[in-house]
Amino acid sequence: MIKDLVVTENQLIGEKHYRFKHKTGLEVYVFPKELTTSYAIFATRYGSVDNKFKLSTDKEFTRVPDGIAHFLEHKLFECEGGIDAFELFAKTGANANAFTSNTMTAYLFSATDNFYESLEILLDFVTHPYFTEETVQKEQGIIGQEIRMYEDRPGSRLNKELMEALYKKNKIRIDIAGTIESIAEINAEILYKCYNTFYNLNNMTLVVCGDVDVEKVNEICDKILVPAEPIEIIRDYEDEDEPKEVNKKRAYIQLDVSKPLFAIGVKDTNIPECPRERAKKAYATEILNEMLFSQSSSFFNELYETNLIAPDLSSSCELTKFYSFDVISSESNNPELVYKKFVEYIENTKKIGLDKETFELSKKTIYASNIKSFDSTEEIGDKIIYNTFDDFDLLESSDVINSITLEYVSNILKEGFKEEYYTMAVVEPLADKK
Amino acid sequence: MIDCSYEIAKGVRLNYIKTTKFKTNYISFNFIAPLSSKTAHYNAMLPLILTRASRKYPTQMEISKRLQYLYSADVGASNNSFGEYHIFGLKANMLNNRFANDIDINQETMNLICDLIFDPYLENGVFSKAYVKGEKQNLIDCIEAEINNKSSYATKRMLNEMCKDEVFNVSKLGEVQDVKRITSKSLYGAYKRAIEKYPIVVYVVGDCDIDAFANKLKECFSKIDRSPIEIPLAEIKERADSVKQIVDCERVKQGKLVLGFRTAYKYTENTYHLLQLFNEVYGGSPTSKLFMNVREKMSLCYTCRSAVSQRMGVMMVSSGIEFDKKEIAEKAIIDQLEQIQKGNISKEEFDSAKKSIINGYKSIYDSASAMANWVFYRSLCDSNTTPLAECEKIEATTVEQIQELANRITLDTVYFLKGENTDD
Repeated sequence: MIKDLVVTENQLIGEKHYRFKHKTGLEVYVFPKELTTSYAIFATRYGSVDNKFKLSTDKEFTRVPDGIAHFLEHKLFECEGGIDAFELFAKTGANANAFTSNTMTAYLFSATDNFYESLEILLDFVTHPYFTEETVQKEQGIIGQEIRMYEDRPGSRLNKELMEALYKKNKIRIDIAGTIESIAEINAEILYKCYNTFYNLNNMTLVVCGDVDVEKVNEICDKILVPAEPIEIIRDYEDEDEPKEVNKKRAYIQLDVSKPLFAIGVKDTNIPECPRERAKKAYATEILNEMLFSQSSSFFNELYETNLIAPDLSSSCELTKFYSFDVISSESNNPELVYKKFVEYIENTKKIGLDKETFELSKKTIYASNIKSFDSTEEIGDKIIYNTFDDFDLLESSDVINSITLEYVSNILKEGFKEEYYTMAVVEPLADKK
Repeated sequence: MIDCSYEIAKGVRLNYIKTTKFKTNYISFNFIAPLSSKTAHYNAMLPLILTRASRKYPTQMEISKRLQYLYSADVGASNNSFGEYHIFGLKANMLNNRFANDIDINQETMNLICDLIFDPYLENGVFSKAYVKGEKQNLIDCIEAEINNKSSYATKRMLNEMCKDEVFNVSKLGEVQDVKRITSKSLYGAYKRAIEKYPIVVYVVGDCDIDAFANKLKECFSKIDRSPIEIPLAEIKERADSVKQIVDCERVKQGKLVLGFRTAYKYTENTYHLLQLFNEVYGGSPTSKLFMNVREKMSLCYTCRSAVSQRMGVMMVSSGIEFDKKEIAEKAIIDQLEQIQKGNISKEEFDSAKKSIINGYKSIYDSASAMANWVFYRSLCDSNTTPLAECEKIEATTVEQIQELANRITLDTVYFLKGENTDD
């Protein structure tokens, strides 16, 4: 039996989940969902930003090469005896994968049959690292090609340029996969050091979503996992003097694209401490984006009618405890003119104020998009893990959205949208091909 | 999988897949045209112009506001090619009525779709000049932007070379010079042709008042004089004559290698499951021969995967490699095919591939669009099979069947996109 099982329910959405702390230190969420596919995601609070750290019992900080969290993700698939974890999942038919972000490394699978066997494999391979100098070298070749692949992708390059323009210090600047040079410094010893620090179960969460029994999940945790020493990881983000203003106003690069791609970034250093407040601000910014930049906005329609932007102007807000920014991006033959119009539009909107009716429609949109996201076990699992790593419970999302007022959104516009917080990154066509 | 089906008009069918497990409903409205360089640019333009404005909602802004009002209903243009078919139209995804207490989201979204398709915004009896001009530019931008993604660009270039004299070579977006020649009047002519002559299939997945939608569609079509065309079937080349080697140079950091094969597979034989199982063993998963050998053992690449087409029987292998590794990668990819041709498939490999395919088939039931697409594309191949029925066929497949299939595969084209100013 599970001790201290917490049940959280949201009657509006018609969903609930169970949460408990397994005796090994692992946090577990079980989200029942009657679909054919069940999903599990097992993640550690460890991403590309965690390159300088120590345990509370250590004297000195350790600094490691960039790209190591991602490298470790690749290497964990290798099991003792030269077997690949993919081969183990292949026996159950599960579809397995993994990813590394700025702040997370996650291992996951979806399965229509043999769910519990696959869950055993997942918990087992992630908690049993195995690598040698030889296998590390082999991986350098594969990841080298992964890095090259991203170098050919305009969207990846645009994002990297934008992060460097927004931030001076914040480690979101670092490429998740590192560079060909930085990964060349990685060896088995550093990998074990990082593994032993960050893959402590107290630093990890398991989320399971599907037609799954919570007691059975607990039994599998009992069977596979070994209790972890409680530890405290101290990370040095080295961003104390990150300015409120953007690092630079423009970043231009040239690539073989047909038309310039631009991304206007709005930097926000005013990140609420309280997780619920953070979530509220994130959803409120989404509502604001919908009001200001969606296809029903005057900004979009004016630029679109004059063919200044592509039909797919997109806006998105990233708000976590580590960083917060808003991005507006599309393609345009004249990004500088779009930028100018953007600045004028924001100033003008501030002056005349946000419209009540537009606010209600946009809030409805965000409310509906949130409910729509509860139709897939993969999407639910991913959203829970992202939210829980930011200390927020996904099932509170609809209440938080409902609590947002026009005044609250207006205040984000007033405080957050100022010219010193704006920057723009552009990927231009090659000069000799224009 | 279809719970009920309605004959709406001549050559117009409405199919309903009823399920209560989703919080959303899904609709796809599909025109089925022959894929042809004479009409591809027009058919690519139609979904764009129809979703741009209608008589009732004459601007993009009014359509968007209406969609917001309908609880963020998602109504968008669709455009796809499938063998000799050009399939285009609209698709929609909307929240189920039970989450709204003020409006009937389903009915209102269906009405909006009918408005967009049957009651377009016209000026002097044809599409608006300004909108046609704008959408032409958007389509041209879209065609020109194909160069941005180098991997898919390489795939497309390979297919162009491989299927030079075949209908599959026609782009579903059309060609820039043809788009430029479109006028408001000629586009309106294309619209009339689509609505009067092309076969039409509508899918609805979810939980809604389907009779009401059927009646609404019947009413819309009652004003149209339908005379549906027969779409000519294309000949499919079973074997390659000889291997074509094509090299392009662009400013890329990584070489993109794409191999095109003929598989001799015929959709009329209802053996797509064999082709998919072969593909899974060869390069369709992280335990496939290509992944385990070309990537994991030889460390040549990050991606190396194969894919097969349901209609044309073409197989493609794509990989991103260093410029100087082309020969060695090409050989490694062919070596792995020869392993299957010799029957070198372990029981474990084979069982894994089967389970993986079955997992994929079963998960189709978890997505409304996947269910609709399954039924639709299978029906275009004259099959009404279900994912569960295909699972049984996969279970019963033998290594010998896969080996036999592999032995009919021939290499047609090797395409390599490499960086400029590189030697060799």
